[in-house]
Amino acid sequence: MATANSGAKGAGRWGWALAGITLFLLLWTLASIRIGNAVLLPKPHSVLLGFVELLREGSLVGDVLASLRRVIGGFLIASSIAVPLALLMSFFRPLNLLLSPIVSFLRPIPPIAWIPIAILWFGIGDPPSYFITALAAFFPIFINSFAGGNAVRAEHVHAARSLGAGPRALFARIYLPSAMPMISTGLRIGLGQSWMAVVTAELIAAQSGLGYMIQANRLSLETSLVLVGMCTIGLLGALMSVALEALERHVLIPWKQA
Amino acid sequence: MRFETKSGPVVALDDLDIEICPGEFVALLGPSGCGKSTLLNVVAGILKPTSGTIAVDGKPVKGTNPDCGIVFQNHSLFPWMSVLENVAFGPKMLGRADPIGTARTFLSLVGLEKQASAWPASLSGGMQQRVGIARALATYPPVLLMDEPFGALDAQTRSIMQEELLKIWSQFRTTVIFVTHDIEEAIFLADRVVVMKTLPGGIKQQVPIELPRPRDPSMIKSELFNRYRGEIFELIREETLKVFRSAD
Repeated sequence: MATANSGAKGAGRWGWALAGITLFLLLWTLASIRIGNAVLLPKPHSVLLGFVELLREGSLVGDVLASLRRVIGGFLIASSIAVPLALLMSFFRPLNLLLSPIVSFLRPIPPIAWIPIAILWFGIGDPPSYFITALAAFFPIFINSFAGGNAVRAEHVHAARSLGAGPRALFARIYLPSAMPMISTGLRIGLGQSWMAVVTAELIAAQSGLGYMIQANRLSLETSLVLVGMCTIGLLGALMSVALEALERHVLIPWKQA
Repeated sequence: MRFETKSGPVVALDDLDIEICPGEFVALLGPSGCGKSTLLNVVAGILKPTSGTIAVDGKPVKGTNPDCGIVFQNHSLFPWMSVLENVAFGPKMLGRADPIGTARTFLSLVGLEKQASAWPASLSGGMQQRVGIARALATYPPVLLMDEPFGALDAQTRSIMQEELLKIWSQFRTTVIFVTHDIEEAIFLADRVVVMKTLPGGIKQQVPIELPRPRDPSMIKSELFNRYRGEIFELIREETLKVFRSAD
């Protein structure tokens, strides 16, 4: 595997990934043959057929869009509050002392425990789902951005000051980029958490989206369609994480790739 | 000169009357703990003494300011800016005309115009320090403070960087305060070597260096250079022994 040429290395990686996926599908098929009950575990190909069927009929696209909208909406709400708040807290010690007990208290409450109160407050549908996805994304983004706000090096601040930077330039051109690697990590984790939370929220508090679709198909014992929903969640989650990595590499922290 | 610390006031530097003339190259030399970096940080405005004053160009120093360019030991380039942006940062912050053009001029002065668009992390330690020097000079500061700028470099790179620094300095003739613990480096570079003392820190003795300029590495073998080296070595040895014995 220690090939000198990076192209060959890349090809090798794809080869291994493909082998892993094949192995997974093989084990799945064997297990479904052994179990012999399509309600408990349908074969991969019937899941694929279900996938094509739902795509043709159009409901899958609708569910995907509903879930994506909730995740991205909640994620944007969470980021736009968590990042500035965390940075402010890392710069102003009194604010930090004031708010950190509240954060420590709220953080261990899992998003799922918020669902009942979210339904009481917002009813059923989009609003409670936005609330849950935002909540799930908030803490990872907040905790990492806070650490990032403390990551600035004294030399950089001294150097910038001696080069004539005022408070505003110091914030925008020194503190913010110093914090960016950690903020970016927080965004990646937050998006993942938000995506997991949307399914939970839709299982209970919505009437559209992938979570709702899974729940509805469970009730009618359409296990292969349940699995279609699950596989779609996995695929989209992986794609979002790849997209965010690309955003990191090209926009958020390009200097970290050197 | 006193400082407030968390564990009470500390006299870091005693007897510290020193005047540095415009255009002079002064090396602060001494064992660790003598306060040479402290003194540099006070001049830079990074540290604020609770007693004593320091003035640059007759103006008392109040906080870090562009009158003093600073070159740190290492890792002080902004990693999120390209090499060119690092050097252009000062002129831009000070609202000077054509910061990018100025940055290009200074990069070619340190021989790194080809690395303009590179990230600092992709450069060697020696190259990074050259960028650091270009960045500090690009604002044309009246005083250039250098805190062991070549301390993290290997011996060969270090001696080449010393020659380069002198070449650049001969074009600008800005005042340089250069902190080091390397005796040869101090003698080779400076017009005056200020030997620092310990317990408490301060100035032990000032040694004017009368080697002709431009300086050349071959001078390191000259008799005069050897005489300076011997004299300064003894001064520093006394101070180091003092620290060594006080530890018993």
